[in-house]
Amino acid sequence: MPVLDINWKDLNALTGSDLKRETFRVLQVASFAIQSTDADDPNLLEIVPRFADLLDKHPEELASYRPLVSSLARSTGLWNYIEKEWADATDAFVAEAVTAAELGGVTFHREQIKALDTLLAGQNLILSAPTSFGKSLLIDALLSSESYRRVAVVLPTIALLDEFRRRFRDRFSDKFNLVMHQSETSTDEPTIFLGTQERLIYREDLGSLDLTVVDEFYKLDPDRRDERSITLNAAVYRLLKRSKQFFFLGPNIDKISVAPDSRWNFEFLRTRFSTVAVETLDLQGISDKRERLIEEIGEDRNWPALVFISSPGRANKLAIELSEKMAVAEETSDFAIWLRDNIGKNNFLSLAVYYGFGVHHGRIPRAIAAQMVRLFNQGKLPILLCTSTLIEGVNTAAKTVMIYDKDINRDAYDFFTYSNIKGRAGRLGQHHVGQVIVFNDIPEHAELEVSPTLFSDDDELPDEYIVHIDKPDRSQRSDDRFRYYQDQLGLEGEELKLASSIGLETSIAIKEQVIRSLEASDRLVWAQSPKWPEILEVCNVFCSHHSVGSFGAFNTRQLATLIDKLRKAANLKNFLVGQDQSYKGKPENRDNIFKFLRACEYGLPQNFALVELFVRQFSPQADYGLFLGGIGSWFQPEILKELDEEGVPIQISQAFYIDGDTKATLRKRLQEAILDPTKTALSEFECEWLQEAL
Amino acid sequence: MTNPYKNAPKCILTRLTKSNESLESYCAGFELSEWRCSGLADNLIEWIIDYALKSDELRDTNHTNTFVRLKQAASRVYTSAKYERRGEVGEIAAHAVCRTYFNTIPVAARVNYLSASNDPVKAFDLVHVRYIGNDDIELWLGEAKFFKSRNDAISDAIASIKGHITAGFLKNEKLLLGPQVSNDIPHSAKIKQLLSAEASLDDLIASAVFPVLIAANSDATGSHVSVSDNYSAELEAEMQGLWKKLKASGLNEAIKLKLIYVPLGDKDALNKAFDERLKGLQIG
Repeated sequence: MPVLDINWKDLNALTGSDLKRETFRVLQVASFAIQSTDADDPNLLEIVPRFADLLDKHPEELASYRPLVSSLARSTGLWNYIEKEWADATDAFVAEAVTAAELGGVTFHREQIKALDTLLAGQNLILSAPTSFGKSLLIDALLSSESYRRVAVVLPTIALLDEFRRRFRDRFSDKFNLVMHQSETSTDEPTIFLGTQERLIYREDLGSLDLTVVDEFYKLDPDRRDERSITLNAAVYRLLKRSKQFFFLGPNIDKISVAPDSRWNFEFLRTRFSTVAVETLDLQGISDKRERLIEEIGEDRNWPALVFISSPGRANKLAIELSEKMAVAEETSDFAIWLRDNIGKNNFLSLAVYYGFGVHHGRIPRAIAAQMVRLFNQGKLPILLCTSTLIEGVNTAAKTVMIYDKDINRDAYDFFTYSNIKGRAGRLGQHHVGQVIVFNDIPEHAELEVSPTLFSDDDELPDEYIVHIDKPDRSQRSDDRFRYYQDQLGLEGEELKLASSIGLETSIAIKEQVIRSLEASDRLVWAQSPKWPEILEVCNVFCSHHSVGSFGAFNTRQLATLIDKLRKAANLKNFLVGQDQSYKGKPENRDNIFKFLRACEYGLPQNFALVELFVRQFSPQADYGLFLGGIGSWFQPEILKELDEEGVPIQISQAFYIDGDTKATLRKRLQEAILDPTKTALSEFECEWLQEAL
Repeated sequence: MTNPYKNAPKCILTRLTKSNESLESYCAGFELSEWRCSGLADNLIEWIIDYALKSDELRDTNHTNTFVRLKQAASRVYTSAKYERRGEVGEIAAHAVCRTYFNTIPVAARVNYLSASNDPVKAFDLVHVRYIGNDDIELWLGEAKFFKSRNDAISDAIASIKGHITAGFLKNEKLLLGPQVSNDIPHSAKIKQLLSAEASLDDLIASAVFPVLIAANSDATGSHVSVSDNYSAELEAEMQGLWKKLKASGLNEAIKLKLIYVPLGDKDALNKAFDERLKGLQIG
């Protein structure tokens, strides 16, 4: 391996003949290195985006070098960096050969073509590649190849779902029906099922599938500390059984462990092929890190910048502090005013946005979070404070990533997580050279082996996963476990799967709690609309085994009150503004109310449903059905929540909703409203927002 | 894996003069008493992808990968106004002859060197390596000219090469930009090693062979209807004329030249036939 220690800063500072000569010399070093290093050596590859950056900065002086840089791009396999208008015809030929007009004229690089070779030959593929590799594009390529009619795509977050939905809609609306929500059902037409594991696992209309795609597949490993891993494995198991082919994608994974007798065969393609370069600024030795962080945030040469913070509370605190110290934007006041009017005037988010600081974490309402990302990508919000939501694949165009905290979910992050955060710096076509500013230790390089539950030995299968396996696939041992829980809980099939999503042992404990409660009173035995004490009783039962804080409340009485108020609120806006006015806790926890709203979507409905199952074993007249039908969509019409996931804030859509609306009729009404804002109460800003979202 | 260079199209150009280290002539022959124009055009099209790809890039792509569109790309690049046509016919012919008769393999599109004004200059239309014995390689740096007139072609070739030599090609900084040499060819490690350091590249260039391909109208080809001894003798004379000019240039005192003469019955007809076929590739 030759020395490729090129000082890009010095090179960039040169001019005239010196610059040209040195450029030639670096190209020469690179040309030798191609023959003497691994074809995916990051040190070699990064030279190409660095040169692209250099050419941008010295367009006139280096004009004669353009074709040569294209030759380098061709030779390294970064074919997407070949500039067809400058390149030598034979280099342009390669770029032309791998340019897909049907995907907007995108040019693939060598490793993408390699992956497509495997996939289009019908083989299963697990691909591990860096963040900037362009993995999503491969999914689009498969969809446009006409080889697949029914495809399921599993994504970890709803934010990602919406990103994919938009892309698929723009590219494939005339080719595929897109099925995302429980309210939609598939037909025999070409279909893409798009969902998180929790949504796909309950679908009854999958039929047979040609392809199953699992993004961020390392989440299949139960050791990655993701409580949703079991459901993911179970959903993927269910999909793979119906699917002719699968394609898993993820970042920076070195090995996949598979039980020796596993029936799953696949190719594993691991590549370090990255399409952007990253400059690291190490600030571990700085004494006052917070002061320095705030300094760097204020530097416009770092913008747009993502700041990685370990928890929502800490991100909120920093947002509050930054808003008091400086302003970094001028174009965000309309969004800030909207937030003030729609989520409450005391909420720190409004001021943070006003001064140019976006906040992005798991509590932020979806349409608002999507708007934050949009404004960030448009350059209007130069700073976005994020938690691990950042590495769940929200696609941002950040030049800089500042890694301020070293923890993630209370543990120090490992090398894998660090690499994924770092991978968010730079973006193909926008920021050729990204920058990472590190404030803490950089974890030692470590290999990551992923052991998906569904590929494991039978002895290792957790009970929660076993209840999802079909009988013919269960060993004697797992069948015994299955029957044990069936008997203990008195539940069958789908009911057992519900219990598994809460935890089987926890479910047994909750059942005991239900029995105790029924012995003491009949507060759990209600139908239709529960009264406050009845809601409280259910909360008491399941919170005996869950932290009430995870539902966004500090005790069960408050939780019951929140549910009750939400149920009675005229609309979500009033509910939020009312809560904002009565809040008395710490400012950075003001958004706990959002946490509660998230729990209404997932968490509370499952627990209420489980309690109902147990109550009905003793008192069949109990019926939580109506209540359960409402809580998941905040007691609002389901379509408003669906639109919220698609980027239309419920505060806006609610004002336009008329009983009996379908999503289509409501969308149409919203679209008409945008066209004629004089007739409606929509502000100019809301019109823009809707325009983008719809 | 298999050697990506193993499969190459057949080359219809055949040697019509006696074997010689410095000058040889290759002709497409005759069909129905006429010079084989359309056969040669077809054959050049067959070679175009082998010519355009270097090392093993895209060679082992499976046919089910519909995102690799070599033919359309060839057509787009070599027929569009955006890409200046610079006599690919000559370059493809040179590539085919070297690959077929000298077992060379392509390693880069061009060689680049640093000029006095510190701009990079692209030189030579063909950059191949050839095995010498079992573990040595030789670099082939070719110049190809596709002209109506033989004299113009040879003068142009001399001017091109001279231009590079006087601009410092032999002594200035140089680089070869090609994809990594495929691991699947014999002695790949050795070849990679030679191409990965300045000193060995300089050695390679110092002992390089410089094939000069002249594809131009031949009086002999125009006046014959089949290959015969007479025809060969006339070609020999035309070739010697070209060689004389090359020698007169004094270039062969500085570098090892190798003349490859490809006589044409009608340069314009060949160009037209080649273009029509290129346009037809769009559909493929």
